[in-house]
Amino acid sequence: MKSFELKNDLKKKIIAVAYGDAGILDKIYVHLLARKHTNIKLELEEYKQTAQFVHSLEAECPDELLSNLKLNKYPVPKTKNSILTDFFSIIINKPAASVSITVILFITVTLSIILNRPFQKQYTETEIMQANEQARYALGLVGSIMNETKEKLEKEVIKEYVVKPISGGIEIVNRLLIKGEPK
Amino acid sequence: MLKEQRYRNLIQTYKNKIYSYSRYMLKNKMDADDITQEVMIRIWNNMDRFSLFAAKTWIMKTTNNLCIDYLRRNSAQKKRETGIDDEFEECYAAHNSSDNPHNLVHINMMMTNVKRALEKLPEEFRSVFILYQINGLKYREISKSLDIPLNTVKVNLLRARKYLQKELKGYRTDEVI
Repeated sequence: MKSFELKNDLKKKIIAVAYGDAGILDKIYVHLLARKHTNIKLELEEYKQTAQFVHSLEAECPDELLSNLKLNKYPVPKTKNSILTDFFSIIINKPAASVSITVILFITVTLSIILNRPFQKQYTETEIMQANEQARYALGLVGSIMNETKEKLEKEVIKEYVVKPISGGIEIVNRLLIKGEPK
Repeated sequence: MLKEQRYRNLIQTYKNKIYSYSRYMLKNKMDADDITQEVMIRIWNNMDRFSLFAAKTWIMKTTNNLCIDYLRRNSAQKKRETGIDDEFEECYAAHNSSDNPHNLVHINMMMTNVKRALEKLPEEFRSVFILYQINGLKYREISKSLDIPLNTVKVNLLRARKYLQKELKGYRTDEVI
C-alpha cells in the first residue's frame, strides 16, 4: 500500500463517508482509494470510529422534568401510548410525509373511480332509430317463425301424429267392446 | 382537547432533543433541566403561534435562544461548568452492554474522550454539530433554527468534525504515552 497526499477536497469526502452522509460515487471513490493507500484507510477508520460514538450521544430527558410539568397542570405524555396517540405523533413528526401520503391516496382513489367507471357511449338519434328498426325487424322475424311453428303444430303435427293415433286407438277399443258384447 | 393532545405529542417527540441540546450546550445537568422545562412551558404558551410544519425548527430555535441567553448571563460564572456528567457514560454503557470488560473500558474511555472533545468545540460549531449529529436535523432546519445561512451550517459542521477529530487524536496520543 502506498501513501497518498490528502487534499482538502478528499478529506471532506472522507469525513462525509465516515459520517454516512456522502453520495454513492464519493463512497465508491473513497473506498477504492482506501484500499490502495494506508493513510486514507487509517483516516477513514478514525473518523468512522468517532462518528459511531457521536451517533449514540442523545441524552434521555429525565422523568422528573415531566413530573414537574404535571404538577404545574401541564398536559404531559403518558408512558404508554395508545394507537391514536401513535397515529397523531406520526402526523406531527412527519407532517410533510403525512400530507404527501394523503394527497397520493386521494389521487389514487379518485383516478381508480374515474378509470373504473362503466363505459357509456353517446348514440345519435339516427343510430337509436336504426337500432329500433333492427330490433323490430328481428322481433318480427321471431314472431313470424313462431306463428309458422304454431300453425304447423296445429294443422300438421297434432292432427297427423297425435289426434289420428288416439282416435285410431279409441276406434279399436270400441270395436273390440262391440264385438265382445253378447248379442 | 386537541391542543393538549398536540402538546403531548410534541413533548414526547422533542423532549430528548431539547434536553440533549441544552445538556451539551450548557455542559451542566441542572442548567439543562431548567432550560428543558422552560422550553416545554414556552411550547404550551405558544402553541397557536407555530404550525405543525414549523414545530421542529420553532422548538430548536427557542431552545438555542434560551441556551445562548443562559450562557451569556452566566459567562462570568465559568466555575459552574463541571463538564458533561458521568451519568452519560453509564447510560451509553447500559445501551451497549458487553460481557467483555476490556470492551466496556474502551467504550467508556472513548465516550469520555468524545464528550471532552465536544465540550471543547467552539459554541458556533457545537450548536451545529449537536443539531445535526445528535438531534438529526437537516441542514435547512438547522439554518432556520440558528438563523444562519445554509452554507455556514455546512462549513461549521465540517469544521466541527475536523476539530473533534483533532482533539480525539490528541487524547489517543496521550493514552499511548
